[in-house]
Amino acid sequence: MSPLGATWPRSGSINKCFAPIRMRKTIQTFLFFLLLANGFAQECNFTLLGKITDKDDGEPLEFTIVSVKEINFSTNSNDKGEFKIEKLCAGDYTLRIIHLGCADTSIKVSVTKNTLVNFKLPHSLHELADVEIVERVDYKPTQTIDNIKQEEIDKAKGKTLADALKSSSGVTTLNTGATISKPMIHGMQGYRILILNNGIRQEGQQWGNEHAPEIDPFMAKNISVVKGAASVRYGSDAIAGAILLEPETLPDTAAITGEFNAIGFTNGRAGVVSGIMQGSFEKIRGFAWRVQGTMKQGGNMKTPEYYLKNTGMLEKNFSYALGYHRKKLGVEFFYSQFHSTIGVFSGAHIGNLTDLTSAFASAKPQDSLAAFSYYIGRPKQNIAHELVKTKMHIHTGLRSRLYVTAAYQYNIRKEFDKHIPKNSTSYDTTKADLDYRITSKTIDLAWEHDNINSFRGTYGASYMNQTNVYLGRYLIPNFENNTWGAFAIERYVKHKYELELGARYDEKYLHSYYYSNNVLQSPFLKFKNVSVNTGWIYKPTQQFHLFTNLSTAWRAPAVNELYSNGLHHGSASIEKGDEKIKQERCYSFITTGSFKNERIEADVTAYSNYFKGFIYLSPGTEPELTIKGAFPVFYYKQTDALISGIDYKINVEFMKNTFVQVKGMFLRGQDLSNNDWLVWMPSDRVEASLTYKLKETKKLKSTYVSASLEYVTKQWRIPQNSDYAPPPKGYYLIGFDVATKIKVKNQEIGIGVSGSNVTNKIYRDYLDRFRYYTDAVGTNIQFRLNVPFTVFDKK
Amino acid sequence: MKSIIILFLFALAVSSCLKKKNEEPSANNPLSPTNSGEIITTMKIYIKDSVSGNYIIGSPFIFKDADGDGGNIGTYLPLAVDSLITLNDSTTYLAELFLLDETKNPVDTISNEVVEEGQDHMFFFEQTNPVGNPYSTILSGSGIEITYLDLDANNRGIGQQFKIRTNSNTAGNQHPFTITLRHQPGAKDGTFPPGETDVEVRFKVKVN
Repeated sequence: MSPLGATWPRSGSINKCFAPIRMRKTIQTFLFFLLLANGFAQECNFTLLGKITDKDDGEPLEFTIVSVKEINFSTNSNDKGEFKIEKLCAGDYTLRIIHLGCADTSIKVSVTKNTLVNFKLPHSLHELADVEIVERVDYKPTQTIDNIKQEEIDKAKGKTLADALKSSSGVTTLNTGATISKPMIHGMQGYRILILNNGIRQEGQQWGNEHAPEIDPFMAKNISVVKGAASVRYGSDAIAGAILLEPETLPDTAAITGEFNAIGFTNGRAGVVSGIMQGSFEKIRGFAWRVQGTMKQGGNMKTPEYYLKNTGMLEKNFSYALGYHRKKLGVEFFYSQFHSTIGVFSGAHIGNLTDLTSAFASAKPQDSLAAFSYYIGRPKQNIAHELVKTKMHIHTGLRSRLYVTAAYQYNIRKEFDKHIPKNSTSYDTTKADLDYRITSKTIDLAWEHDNINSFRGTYGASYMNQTNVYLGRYLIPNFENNTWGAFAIERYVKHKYELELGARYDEKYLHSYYYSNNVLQSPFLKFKNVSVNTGWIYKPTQQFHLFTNLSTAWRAPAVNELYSNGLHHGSASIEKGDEKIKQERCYSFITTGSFKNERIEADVTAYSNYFKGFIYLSPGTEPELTIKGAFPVFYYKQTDALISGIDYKINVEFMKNTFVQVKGMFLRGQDLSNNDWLVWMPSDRVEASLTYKLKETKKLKSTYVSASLEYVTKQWRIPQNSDYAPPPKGYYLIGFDVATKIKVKNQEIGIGVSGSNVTNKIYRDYLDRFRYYTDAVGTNIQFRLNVPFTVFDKK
Repeated sequence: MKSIIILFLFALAVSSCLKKKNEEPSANNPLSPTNSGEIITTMKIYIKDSVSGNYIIGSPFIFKDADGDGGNIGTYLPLAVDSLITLNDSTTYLAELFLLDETKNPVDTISNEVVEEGQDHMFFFEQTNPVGNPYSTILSGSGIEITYLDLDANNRGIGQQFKIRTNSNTAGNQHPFTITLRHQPGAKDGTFPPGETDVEVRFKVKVN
């Protein structure tokens, strides 16, 4: 993935936007060459200097991105429009030059000595080709952002979305067995994380710990994690961070291409097929399309000693996109559907606390002797998610654009209890016991401008209308939620540093409807508040960058925190909301040091989040007496809390082609008001991996062999009296990964084999909600095949 | 070629949207709790003297959880807090258990279904595994003997009807008397562990 990977691919227009007009050899540069001539003995010590100016007015163009494809390096021009690339070996290089308001373009430069190049950029759109450039990832946000590498995405193919995110240090998962997984950033999940699926905030029933995001990861080409408060840009809920999933930009060359993926897993005997096809037309320039689909089926998962009954799953997803881009505007339409049926391990469905205690006391769970089967019976979840999105952008001037995005989401979540009612003669077995329908309509406006006197900025507003209804048992109420917000972000960009200030204001109107003692209640709540972010990027050298953010964000309580009142069968507990709960506010500091040279890549992040009114579940003192026996009661309460920690990821090429990577995290979650720990926080962990990259041959490319060791410590920092069973002990897991790309004609076919828990270790994880009942799954070997194809190519 | 693809995409767009069913109510009109699925709200125990046929004082003993598990807590009736069943010594009583869903109109007697599906259900007393034929169990420490009076299709006790026998040695203290209904589909073997708990109510018993 090149740092410019998200740009609109172009071809054949190199000379339209600019041309290197001449090699200007002033006296100074001549002297410069002479001075450095002695250094040429080492062949990789050439320097490429350049200057970029506006063709129309001759002004230097600062903050232009210059990247060298061959060495995967990029830099920016300074305020004089100059850039410098050092330590180049002799050879031909492709420079890509990006400046906002101008098309990004490639140019070949031959380096045999220290070289100076000048570029004149026509800084006006009328000289561009009629198909224009959209979306550019041409500057980093000030937040700590982690782009998941392609190899990691490949390795997680066929697994859950949360599994793909785990390669980012600081991200863990909250699991419900092996098939339901929710991402956690810095120990926070659910409503405190925003997931932006193709630019749209994913809206489902996020409140449930066993409600995984309803997203097909195959749809996304780029997956990134924004760590730390990202509220100003993405919405007030994103206290802990945001997860961004972006599909590849639609093509603009007259060709039809595609990709086919097949993945198999030994555990669960699961298979996944996924295909994608896209194209555009020569005759209608600017029009492009894409279709994509995935099918996945798996059966009962196996722990080292036994199968888990009813842990299969079936998933069917598809999406398609249409795009049309002209000189000054573009329109995009996207549609997707996600359907999944997930079996819930039947041994984890229990009647009451007595059952839970005996389940925990027994070495093997009930239903553990089950054999392998693909059959999915009760209990199960049946989920459908539909997304319709249109996005339009218009150029409002030479250096500014307006984006308008409208989206509609409809989410159906059905959950079936383990047993049908005793009065089964009149019972419709297709009717779910829990059944929620949530409809969300969003509209977002964003206007952004490029550099104006070193300032660039984004202004925006968003509105959401959301309704939720339940058709089964009551757990959370019906509600109508109207939210709107507006934000402004400006950034002052200099060569060595960048400063950003952003602010956002949100209002949320929540009208809930539910019955209490057979009387309809319809409370109406209004929340409003401000989020602020200040960011600072310091770039003392090309190798070292420091990203620092200081921000404050807030979150309105969610309906379950206010009104939930019901029994959770999986955890044998009653959860009670409190309608007096106020919004929670977070003050956070996060800083990331990022170092990169030829051999070392290191990112270290330190953060601290202080919460006023952190909403959490607190155990009650008296169990509640019901017809099913006594249950512990958990109340939603607020406290002051502090969550701080360190994430690190260091990759060193310590011998040629041999890499060692160490990543890990430390996290402390403290309940300050009660002088105790916070519940459900990830324990400290570290993962080390050793990778050997093989030399490229005529047939094989990007070949590597890798082995990893992960160690997760025991979480002993837990609040008192909040759990039925002590946290499980620490564990280590061994994994491996082997992959290559085989050249067949013009295509590169990717194959890979990877394994997790290869020693078939018996363990339980603190953040697995099924740890009360069963061991975690054993060895799982994944086989993957990736075949890109071209149906038709004009060239 | 392209027109085919456009048509194909258009067909997809039109045909495949998830349909909102008519059943979906509007947000401001939630399903009332009486419309929700089957819940068990009430356990009633009728106890009568096996000789005289007279119901004992306090019978039926009731535990009522008007909104089922979760929600508001359940209470003992007729004496709000007192869950105590008082028996005489050296007496045999006949007892019958009823489980009701009182959110329905008319009231749904769930225990009828429990008996009908007797091979999947069993009542337990103090969570002990009964022994003998017919099944019987002695309440630990009390000397009170419970004998199952009903049988499922596999000749295993169900416990919806049972006999309570006290003897002269059983007078004195209060003893816990927890009644548990276990749902054991395909796994009922006369013991407590298989399956899961549907109902668990804690009464107390005392012999005068």
